[in-house]
Amino acid sequence: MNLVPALEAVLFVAEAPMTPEDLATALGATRAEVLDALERLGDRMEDTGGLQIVRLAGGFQIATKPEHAEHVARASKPTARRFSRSVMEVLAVVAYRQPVTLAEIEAIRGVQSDYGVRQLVERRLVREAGRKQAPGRPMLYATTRQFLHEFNLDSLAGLPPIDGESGDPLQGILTLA
Amino acid sequence: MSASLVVFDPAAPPVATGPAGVQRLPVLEIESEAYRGSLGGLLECARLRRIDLREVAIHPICEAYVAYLLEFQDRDLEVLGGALTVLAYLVERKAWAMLPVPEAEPEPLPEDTPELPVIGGFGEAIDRLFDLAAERQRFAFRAQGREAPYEMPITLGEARLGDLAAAFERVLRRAKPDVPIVVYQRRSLAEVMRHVVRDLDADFRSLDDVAPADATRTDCVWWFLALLELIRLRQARVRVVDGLARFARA
Repeated sequence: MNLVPALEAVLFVAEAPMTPEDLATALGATRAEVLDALERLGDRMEDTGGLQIVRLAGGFQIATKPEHAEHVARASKPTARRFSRSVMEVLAVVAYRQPVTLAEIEAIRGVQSDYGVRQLVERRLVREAGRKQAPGRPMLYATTRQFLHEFNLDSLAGLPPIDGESGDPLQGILTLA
Repeated sequence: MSASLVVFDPAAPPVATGPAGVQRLPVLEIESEAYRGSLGGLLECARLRRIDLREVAIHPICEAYVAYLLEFQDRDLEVLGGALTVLAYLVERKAWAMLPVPEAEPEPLPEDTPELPVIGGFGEAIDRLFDLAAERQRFAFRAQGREAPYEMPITLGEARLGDLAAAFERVLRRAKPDVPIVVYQRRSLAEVMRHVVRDLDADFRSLDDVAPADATRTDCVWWFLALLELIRLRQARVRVVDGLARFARA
């Protein structure tokens, strides 16, 4: 069976990135067959049409090609998701040092950061990730899958390096649910 | 910020109040523009955030403490220890209050604005994150604009929410009816969590085996909420075996 048309249909209706395992379940195929079909579908889309397959947040999803961004924006009028420098600083500290407490964020930044953390939690880019086993049992924060999606990252390993370190956040990374 | 006048009366009996479990405070009277009263009162106001410590000079209070310690170093250690604890608390609260507070969300700066100092080591990474966000804005997805799905704050591994729901439903079906409440007794989730973690062990068992046999419907709800919280805190685990969710202590 040619999986490519079926794969295209499933990805079209998906509202979130789909892992190869989810696609295999939906298509009744093996993981290897799905990956092969993804490659063939991706090649075909690259050659023609205004769509592409992107790999982000641990899965695959159909998206428009960047060269059509202006046309799409005129049609759909998406809400601009802007970040201030201070909120991006908080997000960077959480992304690279997760799981991390508010006090640790403030110690790194040198300023109060509860506003930034609240903003990021409301925007679903940061989530509560348990409590630290320390006096006071402060809340720990980590990034979400939505963070990966909004920054076009497949995983935390894709984070750009900081000052000679690898992009992978240091110890204590939580597995995303 | 005005100077603080601090006096203490060595003959006065210690006061049996104080934060951080301090039972006996030295009797210090503080007079300043921002605050007038006892040390205990100042600490209470600081704890309840009813006073801006930036307006109260701490140095005279510290000097009075040191003088008190030197004068009464032969007194019992509990009083002296309490004095040090209180002093440390006051200094720490003032230090936090003096941390700069960032302004409310500002408008994006014009492109010719000079660069601000960045937190050490993160500068290039933050710039790259801005680039990634800008690149990502050039894609559009079919579900774009819809609110991002709420991400469960618990790690379930291979189990799904439906597995948990099915396990809960099974337990509810065998639960005894609730007894009419005559006197409402407030429960503590922490207490229920302690019971639940005691009932779990290293082997994965179904909820039918772990939940109390004589539980009422309300008991089952409390029990299940406690179990979810334990999973969130990584003190319990869940696994699907033969289509059924099974639970074990972490």
